Order: sequence, then C-alpha cells, then structure tokens
Amino acid sequence: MFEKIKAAILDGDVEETAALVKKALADGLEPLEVLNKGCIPGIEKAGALFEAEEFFLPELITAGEATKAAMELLLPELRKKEDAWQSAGKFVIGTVEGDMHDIGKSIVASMLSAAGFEVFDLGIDVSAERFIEEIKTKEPDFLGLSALLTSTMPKQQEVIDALKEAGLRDKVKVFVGGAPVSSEWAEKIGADGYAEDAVAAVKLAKKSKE
Amino acid sequence: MIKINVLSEDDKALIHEKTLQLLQKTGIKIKSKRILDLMEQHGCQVEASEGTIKFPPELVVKSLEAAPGKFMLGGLDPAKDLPMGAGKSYLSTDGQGCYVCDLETGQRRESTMQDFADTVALCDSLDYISLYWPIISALDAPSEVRTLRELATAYRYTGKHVQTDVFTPQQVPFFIELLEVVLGDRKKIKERNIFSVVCCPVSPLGYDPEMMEAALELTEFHVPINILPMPIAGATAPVSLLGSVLLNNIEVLAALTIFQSYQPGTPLIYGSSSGILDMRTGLFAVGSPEEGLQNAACAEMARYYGLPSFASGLASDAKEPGIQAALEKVASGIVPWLSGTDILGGAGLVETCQCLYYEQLIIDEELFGYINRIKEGIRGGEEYIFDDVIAEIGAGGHFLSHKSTKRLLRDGEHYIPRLVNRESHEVWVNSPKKDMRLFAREKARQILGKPRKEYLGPELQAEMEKVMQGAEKSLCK
Repeated sequence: MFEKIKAAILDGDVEETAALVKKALADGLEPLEVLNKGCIPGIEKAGALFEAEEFFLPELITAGEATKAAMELLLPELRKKEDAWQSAGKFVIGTVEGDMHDIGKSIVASMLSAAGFEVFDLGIDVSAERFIEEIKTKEPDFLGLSALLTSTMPKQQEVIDALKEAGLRDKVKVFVGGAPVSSEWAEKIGADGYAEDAVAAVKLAKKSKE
Repeated sequence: MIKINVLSEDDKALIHEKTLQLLQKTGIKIKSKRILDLMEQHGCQVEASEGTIKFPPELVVKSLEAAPGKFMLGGLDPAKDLPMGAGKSYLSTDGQGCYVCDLETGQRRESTMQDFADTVALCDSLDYISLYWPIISALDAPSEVRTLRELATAYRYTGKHVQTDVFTPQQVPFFIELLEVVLGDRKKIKERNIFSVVCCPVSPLGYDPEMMEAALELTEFHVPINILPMPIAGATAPVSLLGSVLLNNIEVLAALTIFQSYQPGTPLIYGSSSGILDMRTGLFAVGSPEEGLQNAACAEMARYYGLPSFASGLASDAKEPGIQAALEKVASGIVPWLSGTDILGGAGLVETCQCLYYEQLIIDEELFGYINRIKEGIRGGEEYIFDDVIAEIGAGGHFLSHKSTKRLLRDGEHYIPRLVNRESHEVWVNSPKKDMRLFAREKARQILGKPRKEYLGPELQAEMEKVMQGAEKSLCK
C-alpha cells in the first residue's frame, strides 16, 4: 500500500493518491505511517529526481499536488494525535498588493503543503493590512511574500514595515520570492530569506525551523 | 517537419542541363590509364595524353538511373544502422582534422592515435552523432597505413557506422582483410556496409587517380562511396553560389558515371563540402552564411536525382570554441539541415575543419539539438490545438499540472537543453553551468574517464593487428 501511494505521488495522480489514502485509512492503517512511509518518500523522491534533471517542473508540481491531496485527508487524523505528530510549521503565503501573479506562489504553496507545512494561501493582490490581520489570527511561523513585478517589489518592504509597526516582526520569519527578487533585495528590505524556486523555498523553510 | 528549398525548380533544371553540357564539352581530368580505358570502352571521348574524359549525356543519365536511392550504412551494432533514402537525416562528425586542443594542457598540438581512440569512444556515447567520420587523423601512425589503423581503432570503440579514406589501390586488399576479420565472413562485407569511403575530387574538375582507383576497386565489395567535392567559390569555383553548386554537381556526376559504368548499382552518396574564399585573408571560409546555402543547394540537387546526400555544415573558422564558433556553426548548419540533407557533417572541429576541441563536440550536440528542434517544426491539427485544455483551465489558472503538459514534454514538444543556462542570476553565479565551455569540457572529461565499451574481443584485435602489420610490411617504405 505504501509503495502504491508513493508510486501514485511520483506519477502526479491526484485522484489515485486520494483514493489510496482513503482506502489506507479505512483499512485502519496509522495515518502517521501513511505519511512517513508513503507520502514523504514519494515527494522526496520526486524532489530528488527534479534536482537530478530527470523530472521536469510539471512532474514535480503534480507530485506536490498529489501529496497535498493526501495531506488534506491525513491532517484531520494526524491532529487527533498531536503527541505523535507535529506539522513542519504554519506558513501564510500570498502575492503582494497590485500584483496578480498566482502561479509561482501557488506552486510554492503546494510544495510546502507536500513537505508537511500547514499552508494558508491568501491568494493574489493581498494588502499589507490583510497580511497583518491573518498573522494575528493564524500565528504562523512563516510569512511568504511573492512579487513578480519590479513595480510591486516595494510592497514586500511595506508589509515588513507594517509588521514592525504592529509589533509582530519578531513573531514571524519573512521570506520573499518572485522573478525580479534576489537575496540582495531580501537583505535590503530586512526579510529573513529568499528562495529562487519552490524546491529552494521548502529547503529554506525547513532549515530555518531547525 | 520544416523543409526549405534554396534553389528554384528552374535553377535545378538549369544546373542539370549545364552539367550535361559541360561534362560533354569540357569534361574532367584524371591521370589514370585504368579509368581512361574504362570510360573509353563506355563511349566517352578520351584524350590519354591530357588525361581528359568527356562524357556523352546519355551515359550520364543512364548512370544516374543505375545509382540506388536507398541503401544501408551499417554499424557493428545493427541497432546503429543508418538507412539512406528512408526520409531520415543524421549528424556526422567532421572529418580529417589534424590538430587537437589537449584536454589537460589546453595546448594546440598535432593529433595522435590516442586522441583518435578518445574521440571514437566519446562519439560512441554521444546520442546525436550517428556516423563516425575520423574527426582527426592519427598523425603518429605511418601515413601508408594510417587510415587502416584508424579504422581498426574505430571498430574497437564504436558500434556506429564508420566512414574513412582509402588513398591508394594497394591499400584496398588490407582494408578488405580487416573487414573480413571484423565481420568474420567476407560475404558480410557486402551485406552489412559497415564501412564507407570518402572520395574527394580536386576542384575544379580534377581527380586524384590513386584515390579514384582505390574507390573503384572497393565498388566490387559494394562499399558505399561519398563523392565529396570541396569547391571554393571565388577560387577553385566561380564566385557565384549557383556557379559553385554547378561545379560541385559536375564533379559528383562525373565520378558517379565512372563508378556506375564499372559497377552498376554501386551505392553512392552525393556529397558537398563547398565554401567560399575569404577575400581579405585569401583563406577558405567554411563558417560563412554562403557555405550553408551552397551545401543546402547541393543536397537539393541530390534529391533532384533521388540520391542520398552528405552536406558539410556546423562549420567554423573560429580558432577556438566561443561566440564566433557558435554563430558560424549554427549559420552554416541550419540551412542544410532544414533543406533535408540525409547526413550533416561538421561536429567537433573549429579552425576551418582543422582543430578538434573535445568540448566543441559536446557543444555541437547542443547546437544540433536546437536546429533539429526547429526542423521538427510545429505539430499541427486537432490533436495539438488543445482548445479543450484552454476551456478546462479557464481564466487565471495554469497549465503546469495539466496531464497534457507532462505528456507532451515527454514527447519532445519542448527541446530540453543540456548545456544552455536558463537559471536565475542568483543561481547562475555559482552554477557549474555558468561557463558553457568549461561545463562541456567537464562533461567530455567525465565521459572519457569512464570505462570504455569494447566492441571487439582481444582475439579479434590480435588478428586485426596481424593484418595491419602485413600492410606495414607491404606498403611502408
């Protein structure tokens, strides 16, 4: 069963993965085992294949989406046994105000979900006020700010400044991303990190959690 | 599939008409009594003292009909066989360079048998290269048996088809002996065609008598011959591109008529390695935009006659890999490739087909990948229009996770580069792919560092060595 789940994830088959996870739970398998022996080996293998230039981006992303589908089924079960399992962290993510670019941010969100983070995707064109509000209610470990335009990059700084004003800056780690963004920019605006793609974003979040 | 034409139908007919006229009126020169006698018997007007042969048009037309449009260039590994005239095109190495840039020292020096063995092994593992034409010469081998020794080394390390030179008729029996050892049976030489020869006219309208006689004898074993003129527009050919193509055509058809007269049905390849004279330096320029046009035009003439073609391209006059080499190689390679030549030759060399850089072989595969993707064109029709997919995703979604995206990527819809760097600036700064030339050199090093696949066992190699020693005894002064 675990091998089947792993294969379905590698195949990027969302329906098949969900069906297998449902069946595994119905058969009484431990959700934590399904996660650790089926889902995680699947998505880790997909990541390794992508880094080895054997998988193309769509193959990695669909593997991520399949894992995300599995996580959605497993999370409610896992939460019941919090002593045995903890999520990798809470992650609020969104594209900044005035920017309608969705895809890159969504890919990062689904790869984070696949890696065991609890992800709250606020979508696109998200104002600084909305980010602050969500951080107050969700109390995440991480905030991801996406900007795909040089004209919207300064909005990343505005959110960080707003966090400072609200006295929340040290409560959350802020990561920035997007095509024109760089680690120099991240440093300049006082962010905690930058990642150039979804794989790097997952690594960055995992590393800062340690 | 994109197929371009660089000659109009009228110009092809004009070249054909003028070829027949000039073969009859002006003819060619070859100082070979054997070939002069042969052609006199076939109704040619021969002047023995001048070495001139003038061809009646009927004989040329009859010979064109006798030349097969389809045959096989075999490999030691039958999976690497190359059917000619089956609508498929192949990439060949460039041939007969004499310098190599040493992979370790970076120094340009004369090429050796060790380099030869290395290039064979490297090319055997490169998937775009279908045919091995000795890319460099083993200049440390005795010249009388050099190409024989090269051939033996080539069969040791590659299963792909090998094409080389046989310079004199005295060498022929040793080549046949070697092929018999490799194939284990003399009869298989004719069946498998694992070996073809290049036969170069000496433009304008001259032929090396010994090379022609050697090729003539090889026709008895059904050895395919690549008739490969190298006219230089403005120097050894008229300055006009059309005129240089005409001269190339005359030189191919004259040799074709000689071979078909001697042995009807001999498999022949219509070759062209035309170029221009650089009018500032007075040197042969192969990386010119004209070169691509000339050789594409010749490939079109080959198709006009229903013959397989070999066109030079991917050529460069740059002295080392870099911007000029890439520019010239793409410019000279893309036109003949899009024109549908059966074989495109040119991978690996720079410096006007003289100097090998190992990294250039790796880079040329990438250049070829690009022009080959362009040739494949846009797949059309209902199957590829994907209106249903657009409707399914709708506004604001994305196509990355759609099943069709994965399926078509695996089916080659987008060319996936091997060397080209498309990383972000951030990643590029520390990327091993930062400098294409260094990355390609590293790839070449990695391949050469691996254990080599051997295609012939030690016993066969010992037998081949006996043949070569016999040849040395008999041929070397």
